[in-house]
Amino acid sequence: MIPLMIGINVVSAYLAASTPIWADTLGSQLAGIIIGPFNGLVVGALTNIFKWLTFDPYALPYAIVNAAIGLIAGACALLGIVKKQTGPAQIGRTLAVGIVLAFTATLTSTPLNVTLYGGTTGKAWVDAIFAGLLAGGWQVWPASMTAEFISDFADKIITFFIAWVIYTKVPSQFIKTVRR
Amino acid sequence: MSVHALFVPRMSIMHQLDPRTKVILWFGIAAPAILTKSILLSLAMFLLIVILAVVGKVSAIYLRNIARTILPVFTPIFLIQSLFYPGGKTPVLVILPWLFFRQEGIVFAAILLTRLLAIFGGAYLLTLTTYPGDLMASMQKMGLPLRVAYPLFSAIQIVPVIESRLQTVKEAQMSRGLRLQKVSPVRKLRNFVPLLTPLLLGAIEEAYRRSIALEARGFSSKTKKTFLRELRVRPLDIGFLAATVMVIASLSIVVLSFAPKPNPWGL
Repeated sequence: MIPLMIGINVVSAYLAASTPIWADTLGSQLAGIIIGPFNGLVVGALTNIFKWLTFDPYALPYAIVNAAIGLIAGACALLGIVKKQTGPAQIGRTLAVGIVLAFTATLTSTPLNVTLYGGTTGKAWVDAIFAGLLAGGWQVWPASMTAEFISDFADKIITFFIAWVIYTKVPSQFIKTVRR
Repeated sequence: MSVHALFVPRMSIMHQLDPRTKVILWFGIAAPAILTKSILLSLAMFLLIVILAVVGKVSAIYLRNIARTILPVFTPIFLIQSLFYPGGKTPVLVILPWLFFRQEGIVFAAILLTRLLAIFGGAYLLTLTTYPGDLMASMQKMGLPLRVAYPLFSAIQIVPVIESRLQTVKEAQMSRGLRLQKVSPVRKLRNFVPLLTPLLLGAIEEAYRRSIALEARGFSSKTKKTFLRELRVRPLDIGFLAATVMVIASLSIVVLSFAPKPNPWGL
């Protein structure tokens, strides 16, 4: 199941290519929800190692970020925060998990952005915010963290919401098969 | 979009080295770039990588792909740091009264980018000259469990299959009236669900079939596994490693001793 979820990460990032979000952790989140937090972590880490081995020479360090997203998404599902039910309460909980994932991504990627790339992220609109904050007199760390959080806030909430909608549509029998 | 391993098969010394030797070489080349703030030393390490790429008979593809990936990644870093670096005060090229290239920013960007060249350049050479199966076997020999190593390297075969399935799902959904071309970004995000749900269901079925095939071949067996391609560290590895480490040390001493003092440009 893990290599297939790596594939979901790769194709969802490809589908999101002309949108403002990355969506490259969707498979890790789904793996975390469906097959548990440890598998979410493994899918996240291996996705970036796979990308490094195939088409993205700069993906390796961000394996930590993708792994943390898979782990936290899976932990939230394990704690019963993410369920296969619909309704306003569950939608609220799903959005809350998206916010937690945004914080997770920001806290794990900012040190990498600053250390490796001087604070830039590789997404033009996020780098424009970063440059604007620097021009406004901000220091590198707070500027990079703020720009990263703005992008992660949008990316992780939208991506996790999509992951949850897909999860609700997967028949329980399939999920039981995978977990067994 | 097409995903395939970066490995380029050639008959060369670099290809014959054990992957573990190449990982140590990569760390050895990256270390001086990480430990010092010398632009010239990082460039010297990158030059050494290019020489190793020539030895590995992959120099043309290596330089072409590095040049292609450098531009979109390095250009924003250079522009943002040279124009807006917080500690930058010395103007070098003034565009507007508030917008000018700063010496401190240019130096910071140059140190950062040459360091990235040395770190990622070495990693990229490793992937170009190492057969993925050998990398998996060497990782397992270093203690990585098969349950982690197998999914990583089987993904190289499986991800292209998922991509072609996505194309099938796209065509099937378009025949049912789903609009996929010339749509807004919001519509694109909404399309994720009808595209990825069938893909995930197909993936679960595929995983079930593969797990049966793997178990039929003793995947979970406790018996010690053997490898199709045997890997071992040979005298060639030790000799090559020793020679390269000596070159790295000599280059570091020479470059650092010839650096100007004071050194405002980070050379």
